[in-house]
Amino acid sequence: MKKYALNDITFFQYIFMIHGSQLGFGLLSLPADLAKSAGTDGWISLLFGWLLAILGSLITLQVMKKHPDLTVYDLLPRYFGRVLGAVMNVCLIGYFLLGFFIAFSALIGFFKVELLSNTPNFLMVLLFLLPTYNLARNQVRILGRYAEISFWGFLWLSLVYLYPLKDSHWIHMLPILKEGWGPVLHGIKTTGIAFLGFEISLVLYPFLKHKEKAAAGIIIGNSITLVMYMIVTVVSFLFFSPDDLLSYEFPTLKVLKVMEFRFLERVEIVVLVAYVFLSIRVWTHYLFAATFGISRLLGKQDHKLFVKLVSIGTLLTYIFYKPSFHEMGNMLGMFGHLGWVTAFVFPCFLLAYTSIIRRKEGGR
Amino acid sequence: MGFFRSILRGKPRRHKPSSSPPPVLSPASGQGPISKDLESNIQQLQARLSQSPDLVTRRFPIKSTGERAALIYLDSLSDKVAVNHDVLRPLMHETSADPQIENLVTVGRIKSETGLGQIVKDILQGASALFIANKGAAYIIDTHGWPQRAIEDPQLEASLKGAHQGFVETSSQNIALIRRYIPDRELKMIELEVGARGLTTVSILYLADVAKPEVLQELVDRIKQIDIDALLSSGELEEYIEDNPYSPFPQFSTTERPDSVASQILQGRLAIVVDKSPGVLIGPANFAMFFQSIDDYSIRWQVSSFIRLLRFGAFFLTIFLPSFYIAVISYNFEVIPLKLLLSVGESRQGVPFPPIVEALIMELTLEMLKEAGIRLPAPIGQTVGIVGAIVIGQATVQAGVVSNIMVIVVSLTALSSFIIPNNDMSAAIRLIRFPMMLAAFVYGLLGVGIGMLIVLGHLISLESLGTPYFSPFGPLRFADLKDSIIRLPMWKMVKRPLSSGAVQQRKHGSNRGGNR
Amino acid sequence: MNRFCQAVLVILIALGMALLPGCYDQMNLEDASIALMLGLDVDNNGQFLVYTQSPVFSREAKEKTETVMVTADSIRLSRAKFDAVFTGITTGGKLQTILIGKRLLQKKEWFTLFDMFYRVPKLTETPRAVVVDGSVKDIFEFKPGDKPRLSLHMSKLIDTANMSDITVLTNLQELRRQMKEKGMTPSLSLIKKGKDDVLVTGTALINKKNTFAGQLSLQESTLLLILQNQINGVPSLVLDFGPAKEEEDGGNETEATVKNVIAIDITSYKRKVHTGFSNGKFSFHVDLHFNIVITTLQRMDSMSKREDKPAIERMITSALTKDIDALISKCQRASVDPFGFGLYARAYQYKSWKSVQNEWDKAFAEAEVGVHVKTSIKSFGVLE
Repeated sequence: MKKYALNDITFFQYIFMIHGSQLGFGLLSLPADLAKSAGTDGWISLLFGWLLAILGSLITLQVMKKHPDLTVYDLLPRYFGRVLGAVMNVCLIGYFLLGFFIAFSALIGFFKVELLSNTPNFLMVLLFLLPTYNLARNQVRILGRYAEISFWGFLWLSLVYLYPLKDSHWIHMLPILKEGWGPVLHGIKTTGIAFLGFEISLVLYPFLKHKEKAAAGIIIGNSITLVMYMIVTVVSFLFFSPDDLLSYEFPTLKVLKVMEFRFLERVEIVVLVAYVFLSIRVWTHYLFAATFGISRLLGKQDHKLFVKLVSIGTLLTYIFYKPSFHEMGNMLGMFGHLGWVTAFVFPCFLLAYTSIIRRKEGGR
Repeated sequence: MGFFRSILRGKPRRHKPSSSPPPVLSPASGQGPISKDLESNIQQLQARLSQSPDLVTRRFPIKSTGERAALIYLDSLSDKVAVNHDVLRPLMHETSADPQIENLVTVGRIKSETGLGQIVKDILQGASALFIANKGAAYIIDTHGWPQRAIEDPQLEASLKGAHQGFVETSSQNIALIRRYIPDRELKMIELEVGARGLTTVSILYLADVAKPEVLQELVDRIKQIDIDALLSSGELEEYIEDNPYSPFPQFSTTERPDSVASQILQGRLAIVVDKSPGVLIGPANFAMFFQSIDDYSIRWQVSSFIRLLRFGAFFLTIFLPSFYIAVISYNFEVIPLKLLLSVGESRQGVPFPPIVEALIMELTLEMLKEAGIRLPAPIGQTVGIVGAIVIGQATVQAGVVSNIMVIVVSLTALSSFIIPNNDMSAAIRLIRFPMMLAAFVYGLLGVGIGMLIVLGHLISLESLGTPYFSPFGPLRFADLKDSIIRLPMWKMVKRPLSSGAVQQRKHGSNRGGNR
Repeated sequence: MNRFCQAVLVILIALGMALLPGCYDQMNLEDASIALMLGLDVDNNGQFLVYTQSPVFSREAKEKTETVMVTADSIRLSRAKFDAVFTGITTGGKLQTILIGKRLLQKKEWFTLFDMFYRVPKLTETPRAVVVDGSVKDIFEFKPGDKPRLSLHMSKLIDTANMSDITVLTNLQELRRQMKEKGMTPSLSLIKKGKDDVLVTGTALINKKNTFAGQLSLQESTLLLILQNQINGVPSLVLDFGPAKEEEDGGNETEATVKNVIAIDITSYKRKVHTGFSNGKFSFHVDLHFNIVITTLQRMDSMSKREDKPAIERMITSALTKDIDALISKCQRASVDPFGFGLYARAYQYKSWKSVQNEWDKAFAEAEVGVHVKTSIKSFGVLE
């Protein structure tokens, strides 16, 4: 029965894969987005976003628990029949593919603007596709290992954020709830895209070695993400004047621009390069989820071929389609909404459906 | 003649029809059992081993029984003292009440053999064959004695405090050296033969109650599947059995130190001793293994931890220093502190080449110097050093071909690559730095980052004998980190590393008594 | 075989990547002319002037730096003109100091000239923004024989001046914060070209209309830093207790050369701001508690006894209170708030703040600011 026994991932790898799928583009723009709707109270919105994400994750787990050895791709045909299940699978695959494409494009756009502004798009895509293919063609356990090592290996990035604290103004945070709860609740909306990524557990769950720890894992994963977001948000709030914060697109990075050491100046460039190691997890996880789905759909053992096809497809797309940086931003927003549907409504629906089915079967 | 396969020790070899040599000439392909007629046996054998002037055929009557007999051996491969004193003398001169040949000949290894093919094979490996008239079997007496080297200090892996015995080219000697360290009954051996012509004995040594059976089975299967002509060295074997043949990283650790091998066997790994090769392979290997040296365990653990850190630092320096230099000089010079930038700028001025060419010239010069130094005999080798010092150190800078800073970069890379204790690993990372330099040239620091990411992704996905290669780091195993980038005191390492897949985890007690 | 083909393909792609791009963003160090100091000024006709100075890497060149002045409509535009003059392509990635002529500060919207620095990721935000009392040109033409490269000397000068707390250190990022923050007004280092040197003269204040509003002396700058809570290390203050009279040989009294002075080091201090709002006015009460070390008691031999400690403390307290009060009322008169009292207003009196946030300068000018100083002498030094 254990279909994926050879590829199991450990508890920690599971945590870091959840966390890694979340920590993407959101990290860069989150402080500004939060400030836009909730001012310096944005960090409270973040807490609410985190609670919502945990709620969504737990619902997902409830669905997956019923068949601990099946991924969502195996689950859907079982519940909805071959045809309807396949259609739903295709939709899910489409969602993950879209997620891959948008996360990939947005981050590449970002790196291009910040580091190599004159290099043509498709060369950037080519450059980033190499490591992506190198990772995504592997099995889950390799992705898990990467998520784990990149987390520990780049934990120092959060220490870097202690440096701007020397120019911090704690007084910016006061008064708390200056405009009441309205803006705070409004701000929750913007945290959506930031916490999106936990839906990857729809695919990951059967690979987890110790399933009884899944709930703890997903909560810890979300919490690590929260801590990271909290650090950059609070540091940005403390560093920039609340009247000025809105004018920056990526305050997370801007905070580091004044950093200088005796041996290294312009630390933000180094941090940017290091950030590649973290952000690659987002799109490789999505790419893996999508191609894994395709291979299940077509009954193939290996998803490597599809990773290759998708990579080539992405490259071709970029030769003909050149999205501007702002279009990317809009797409990201759109994906945020779509994501909440997939990550929230879909598991809720599945949960409701399966309990009804179960009850019916029990009645017979 | 359809049954000739069965006499090859009963193991079917996987010959491809096209690559297998014609049966008549091959010593490996048998020709059925020998006859009872002595002379026809001798003739057949001589025909099989024609054009071998060192083949000796000695006919004599056995004194005790009076039977006619013939001893056939290869003069060059046999221990003449053993042949004369332990075989010929008792047979020709001594009378005994017991006419059994086994009791007459005073040699330990003796067996009876009927297949002509096998007899030929044994003779070619230094045994003597004793034919006796009217008997359908020959005695194979182990009298081998070939030219061999004395046991010396291992030259490639010098050690300050470790033992000074290194492996030689005879596998039985090598196994003896290992057994001296582990006189345990659980130290088992699997002997396989590789190479249709070379017939190289490959022995796998392991601790039966520690090593993981799946890993062992995997290794045995892989060795059995090898179908080649001859196996000349352990390096060749490594290429045939490694997991990822396209990786630049070594996936087995090669050593010529018996103490290293013993310590690895004790950790639950497998040692592969290849006859005729002084290098013993150890698998499953992991990345951290290549940064360990046997001396680490005999010096203070703080010092040893520091040296380990130095080695891992050297790993990064070797790969990334030249590319970082290129990236910084030609893309992101904002990163260097101003004062340093000014001195770099001053030293770069007047250099006619772009940074990438400058770096390539110097790095390639370094590689050439290194290669020249290895192959040259020692007296000339020193000259290379002097040439290198003058060429790299002074002349190029004075001629304005490269900058001072570049010279510092090159010498640092050279130095740090030589710190890595394992030669294969050091060669691998020296090779990797060239694509890194290209990436830095094309994409600046981002290129270096992506290059690092590809190397990391590759290391993570590598496996050695089905166990993760990058083990203590990815998958992260905190317990194994005790003996990786640092080395904690021996008494802290109570368990065997997880990366070796050892089934018996406990290694020793805490040895520190009480709650000290 | 399939994997082998893949490996070949990857190598081909890698090679293609190496050859194709032609390195769009490449900028070799030797092709760059690294601007270390930028000067912005206005000439008599109101024409915008841009100066820049960059190091020259050449053995043949006699001068180690090159300086160029162009007229332009924006900093970015000036770059094209610089490129026409300099050997290399001008880059601002390592800019150390930006000198702003005092005359430029009189022009409206001068700050928008700086927009580029925040917009282009390659540019740095660490250069120190410095106001020049006089012509920027004089400084760029200054070639000191006993100093390192002028641009390095300038940045070092500002840094060390800030370290000894005699002027503020405002880098571009901080400048933007102070400019955009509704609750405070910017303060910049102020320098002047002396006869044979460049000297720091204090701090320049800028009002909410973004024009020059006055300047502070070195000692006032120290007090400003204290009120801003931006002190580095141990600041020293010299308190002057009126001119001493002394009898000359002829019997007529003249002002003494050696004055009545107490010099102190502030080893540590605590600052607390109480914010209130009443009668349509903000009120701030600043509690300052200094721990000080006496470093000089000039012409006060009679008081150098331990028993006089309370008396000396009182003297110092009143002198400090007087100085700080003077500084605050000077700022209030000029309608500037370099201290950032507006931040406290926002934090503690948000409702009242909201209505005045866009004209904080006026509100602050009317606000009541009271200073309550407490000093305790921790040491008289090693003299009895």
